[in-house]
Amino acid sequence: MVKYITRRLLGTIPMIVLISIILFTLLQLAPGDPLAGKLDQHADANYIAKLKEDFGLDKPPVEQFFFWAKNFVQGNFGVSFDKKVLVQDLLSERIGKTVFLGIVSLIFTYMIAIPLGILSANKPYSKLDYTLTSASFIGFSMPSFFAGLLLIYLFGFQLGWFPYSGSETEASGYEGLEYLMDRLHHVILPAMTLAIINIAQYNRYVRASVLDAKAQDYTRTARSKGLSESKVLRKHVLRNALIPLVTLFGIDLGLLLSGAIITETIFGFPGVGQLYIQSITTRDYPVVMAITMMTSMAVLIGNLIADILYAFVDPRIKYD
Amino acid sequence: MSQALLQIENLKTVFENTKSAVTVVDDISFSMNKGETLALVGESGCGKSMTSLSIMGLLPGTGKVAQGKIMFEGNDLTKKSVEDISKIRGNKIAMIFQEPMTSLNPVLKIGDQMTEGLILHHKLSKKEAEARAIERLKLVGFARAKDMMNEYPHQLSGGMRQRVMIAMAMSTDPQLLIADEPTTALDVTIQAQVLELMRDVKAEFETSILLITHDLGVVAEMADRVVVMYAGKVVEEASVFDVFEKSSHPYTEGLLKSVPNLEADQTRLYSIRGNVPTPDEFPIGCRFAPRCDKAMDHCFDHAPDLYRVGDRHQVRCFLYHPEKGTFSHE
Ligand SMILES: Nc1ncnc2c1ncn2[C@@H]1O[C@H](COP(=O)(O)OP(=O)(O)OP(=O)(O)O)[C@@H](O)[C@H]1O
Ligand code: SF4
Ligand SMILES: [Mg+2]
Repeated sequence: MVKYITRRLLGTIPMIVLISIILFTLLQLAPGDPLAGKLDQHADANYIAKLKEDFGLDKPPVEQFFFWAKNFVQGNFGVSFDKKVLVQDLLSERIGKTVFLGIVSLIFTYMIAIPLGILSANKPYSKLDYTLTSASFIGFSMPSFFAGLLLIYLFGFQLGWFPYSGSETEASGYEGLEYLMDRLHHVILPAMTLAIINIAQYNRYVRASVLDAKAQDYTRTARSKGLSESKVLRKHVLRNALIPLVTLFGIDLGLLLSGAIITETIFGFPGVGQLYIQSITTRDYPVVMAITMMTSMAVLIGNLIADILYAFVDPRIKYD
Repeated sequence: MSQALLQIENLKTVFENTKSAVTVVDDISFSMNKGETLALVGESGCGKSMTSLSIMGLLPGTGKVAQGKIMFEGNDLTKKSVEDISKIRGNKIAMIFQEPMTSLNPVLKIGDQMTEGLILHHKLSKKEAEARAIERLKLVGFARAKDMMNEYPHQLSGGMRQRVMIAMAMSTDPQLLIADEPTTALDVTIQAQVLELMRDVKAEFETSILLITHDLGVVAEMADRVVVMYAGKVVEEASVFDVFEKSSHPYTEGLLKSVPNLEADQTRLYSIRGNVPTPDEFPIGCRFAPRCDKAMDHCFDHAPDLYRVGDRHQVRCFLYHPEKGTFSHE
């Protein structure tokens, strides 16, 4: 297993290198100048040149790339053009918030989607099943900005249950549990917004997987032993049916860091997604590079974790 | 006649959807005595598996018993509640399925699957159940039964899995074992082993076996009595001796002729002409008529009943009608 993990980790290196080269090239080709718009039109040419020199923008692209890569490997992601602070400082503030949002939304997704999917599969083609199918279809086709606005309107404006802006109450002075509850309170609506589309998708997936397992020969064998239907479901059907969810879980893990651009923007949630879209608009390349690289690596690692988890939940899979 | 262990009366099994209903088992009756091995034979698709799954109450999809009785130890299984059926299933009636490769749960250990029924029906502790499971695994020829308890199905070959299924089915000492083509999916040498094993098990526990097969060689080796099915109906019921020596139905004769015979110098293997009809297009007269060499005009628009031709020997063919002379031959 250790060998397998090492091999897989080594295998991701060329991918990461490739991704960084492509990304760097794309950013070079992208229109717009990172310094344009931030400076007075009449700014002194010498000043501009100095800025360019400071950021290393006067060097040829290949040299710039190696400079960036060398620093990146050492954990130095550069300085934000826009905010003039270290990218790692900018990110570390936000990653925690984004991951918190992601985890809460995943908990919603799994806690709601799995039971709903099982419920549907238990009575396929029943009224309940059709209702859930239609609801999933609506949930799936609803753009997240719309879902977000809907939740804000209902639970924020109308009912006033949840705050709908920011990630915590400003200058509240909360500490400990109170602070955690405050953050949870703020994260509920954006997390639900993110979860809606996932729930819609996952409950269908669980339904199909459970239905499939119920029709398998081993399920018939389990029934032939006289086990009750609930025991058959819990012990024989679900163990098989939920294994493929591990793949989805790996993808979800990988996406935890990337944040949610639209949802974070709507809710004014200061996470990675919000920063990402800001950095793209301001051509803040060091930030864009850092976030994209971080996300790509997280996706690769999420995949690896899924594959490792597989070996734990499915006895047919062994790595060596 | 001693009381039958299993008596099936006019069983009719249908698959129904909103548009149509197909009858896959049509008005079948037969009975089995205690300790008897009854072979249910017939070509693919004639309804053998559906008959056995009807008995188990495990019909797939929309299948259900539409008519008839399934009397087991004097009680009608079709009238029992799900809970009551569950008490019999895997306890007094056990089943081995046609598909050894897929019949075991891939993510559960053999030991777990072997002991489930024992813990449920015999109220054994986990330890006692494991001891019994190991004993039964040894009985079906696994010397390293103990290690196997911790293995998963994918670590075993098809023949081994089928032996595990047999050990599992036999673990609760059932009165009736339904074996649906237990050897069809296995290669020839393994087939012989599995059959021998079933014979041993039967001798040891006096289990009655409902053996489903389309292999007449297996029938000759294992069965006391034979029920021949064709297109959802019983066409002949007889002792194994009568089937081989005095078989009467043209279909049974056809099946016998299609068995490869080393002694007769056959140049080509006989096969019954034509194909088995599917349940939605069963002929209205004798269902075998389109394929029967002896068919008479009468056969095409009249359906024969079962006629008695000897002791516990019945045949569904107009050739054995008491007033046979009244039909004109083609
Ligand atoms: N789930 C189902 N829905 C509808 N019809 C079915 C279903 N399963 C089986 N049948 C039909 O029932 C008929 C009898 O099938 P059955 O499996 O009992 O045949 P069999 O005699 O066991 O054949 P084999 O030797 O191939 O196992 C077949 O015509 C088949 O098409
Ligand atoms: S009834 Fe007629 S068609 Fe049917 S098996 Fe007998 S002879 Fe053949
Ligand atoms: Mg079958």
